[in-house]
Amino acid sequence: MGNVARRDFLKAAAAAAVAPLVVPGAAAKPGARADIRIGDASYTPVPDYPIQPNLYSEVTLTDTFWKPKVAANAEVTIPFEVQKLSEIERGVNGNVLEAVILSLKTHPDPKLQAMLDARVQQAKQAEARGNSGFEVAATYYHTTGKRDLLDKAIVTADALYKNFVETNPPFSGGERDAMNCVQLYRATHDKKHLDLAKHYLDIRGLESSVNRSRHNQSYKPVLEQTEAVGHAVNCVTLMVSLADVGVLTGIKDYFNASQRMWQDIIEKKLYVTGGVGTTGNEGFGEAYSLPNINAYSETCAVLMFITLNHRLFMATGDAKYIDVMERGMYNNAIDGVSASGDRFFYVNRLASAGDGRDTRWARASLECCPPNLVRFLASMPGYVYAQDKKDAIYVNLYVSSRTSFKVGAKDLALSVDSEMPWGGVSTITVSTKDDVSGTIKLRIPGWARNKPVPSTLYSYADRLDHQATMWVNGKSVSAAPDKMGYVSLDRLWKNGDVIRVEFPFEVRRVVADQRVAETRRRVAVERGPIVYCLESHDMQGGRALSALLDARVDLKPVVDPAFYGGATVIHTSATSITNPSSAAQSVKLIPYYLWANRGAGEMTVWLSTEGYRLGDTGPAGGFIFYENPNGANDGWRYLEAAPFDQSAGARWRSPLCRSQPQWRARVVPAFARRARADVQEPQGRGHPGLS
Amino acid sequence: MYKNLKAAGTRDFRDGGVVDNFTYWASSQQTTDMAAHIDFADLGRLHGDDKDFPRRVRAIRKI
Repeated sequence: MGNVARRDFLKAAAAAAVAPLVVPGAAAKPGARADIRIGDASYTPVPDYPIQPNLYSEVTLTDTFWKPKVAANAEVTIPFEVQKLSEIERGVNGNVLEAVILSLKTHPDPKLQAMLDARVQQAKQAEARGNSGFEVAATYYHTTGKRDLLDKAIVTADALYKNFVETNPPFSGGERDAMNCVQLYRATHDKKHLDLAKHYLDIRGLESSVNRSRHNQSYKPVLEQTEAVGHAVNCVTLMVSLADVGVLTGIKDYFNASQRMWQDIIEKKLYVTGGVGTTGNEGFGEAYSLPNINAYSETCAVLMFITLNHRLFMATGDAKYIDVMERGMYNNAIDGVSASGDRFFYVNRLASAGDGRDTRWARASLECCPPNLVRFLASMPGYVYAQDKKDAIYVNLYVSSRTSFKVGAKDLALSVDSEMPWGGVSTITVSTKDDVSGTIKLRIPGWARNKPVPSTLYSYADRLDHQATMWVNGKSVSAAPDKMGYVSLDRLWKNGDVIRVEFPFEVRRVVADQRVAETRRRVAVERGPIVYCLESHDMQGGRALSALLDARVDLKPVVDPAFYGGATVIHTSATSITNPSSAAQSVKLIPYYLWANRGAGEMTVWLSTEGYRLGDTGPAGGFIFYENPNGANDGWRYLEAAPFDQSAGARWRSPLCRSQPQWRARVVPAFARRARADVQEPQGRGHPGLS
Repeated sequence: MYKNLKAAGTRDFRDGGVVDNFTYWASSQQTTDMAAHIDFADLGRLHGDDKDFPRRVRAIRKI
């Protein structure tokens, strides 16, 4: 069958979970659904991941980057979304309700608390609808200790389980259903709930399954899948579910499937901003196809990808997953909400034609991205630290904050004072009543090790020789990371011990694998975890897409305390692709996540360094097919043909083009003359028009 | 455009499942009633067709 619209597919999945259908004959096929019975597999479940994050509510942010964002989330964005949802019939539910639950723990709000209490009472009385309430129920239980929603979820899960045992109904979905049941299992530790999650995955993609498609990753059994395909959010959710079921059941095939798909993304399908999903149908595209002006890179997708990378870290202790997670957090994810906190991007493009299309939404539909985003920001402190079963402490993100751990039977607190993300120096002060023998593992980020991503998809155009340095109580120690990307400091910790870490923090130029057509002969600019962009407001004339950056030009970081609460911007100069010999003008690069806060205008993350060659993807997402040898005199250098698929990206025939001549689709007279020599054109009267 | 991109094997000049998507209006007319179109599926040859025939346009921009 063809693609199934995402939300139709989800509706079908939910309906099947509540009111299963029976397909006669389906059980007769070898390897068919009837051969797979819930609870048949033999495994010994484990309670949770081997590495556990320090709870978000046990990490006190003291920084000037994340703390204001988390506060704005609590004080502006969550109330905004609650108000919007209160105006419609379905009311506050799902991820927004979960965000409220999480946020109230760290940012008490009597009005929101009253709303939450009322919603919980309503939910208790409401008719159960499949497994969709499990995640909220588990979060409410974990956060408040109250079983109101959990007990109801358990009853619902029992009914679903019984239904699978008795009728083994066909089912189209899986990844969201599996995740919901995993979350319930992590609260109850009842094997039946893990069996449910596993079963939702096992019956997916079989020959006898319903609603099979590549778009919903049910084109083959999940354990046979190796690529990230189809709807990006669903696919990454599937990968999270596979990792969850693999770790919690101990059946490695599930975890391995998730890792294979992750590898496919990291090697071929990851945006430099940490986002995923390239196509207009919210899906993964072909390998190495990473369009900029028609990127999708949905906020929801990167948020689920952050979750996935965190889970893969929790399973393995490998910092490469935190590298990818950090890239998504500092760039794609927080691009999803405006500096004001009440405007949203669902789609996070890496270039804009400035035609007004890339304007943040004021009237968010609140279907997916904004609710996901408020939930992420409310729980953000939970991504900073972690601890394994041997009580080793992981410092994953360098964020000024305080937290504490149990190491053996003793308490050990850490206070981090960090310049991140604007500087590379962090100091970590240990507080402890008694001397504590233990290990503190400090992540050395990939960007501080000449490795922007754990693959060859992106690399730095330059190479830094100096590396991270580290001191304990003023004495230098080795900062060479182990194969997992950490420096492990194993010692007897005393009160007042101080670790100092200093990462190289130069401005870096990033280049992509040459197989990525859309970024050839271009660079992206980074500093630490922050990806930068050029926006029209920061250059004379506003033609950001036509900027030409000399490969050797100085990129100077400058602190701008007035720029949206304070940010480091990058001062440099650029000429024009149209006329490279023109005088260079001063331009300012800003952090990507801050673009589109000052009105419409051109924007680009990838800056041209050499102009274009025939066949290159042009700045408007089309194809460069002609270079004008008299470009300097004519005032134009290239002709770009509109792409075949114009459903996304720049509006080639937008009414706005009338006010922006450079975007007007028309035959250029000089080219029209030359074009006659290129085709066997019969004699006739030429006329101006479109070719 | 045909010689530089399509004939050279550049992607994005394909049959995307849309009927008649290999022909594009050219910028020249042949007669009062007929305009030229270039058939990318016919080695880029120029053909003529009624001006009111709904063929596709491949917009271009200068930069």
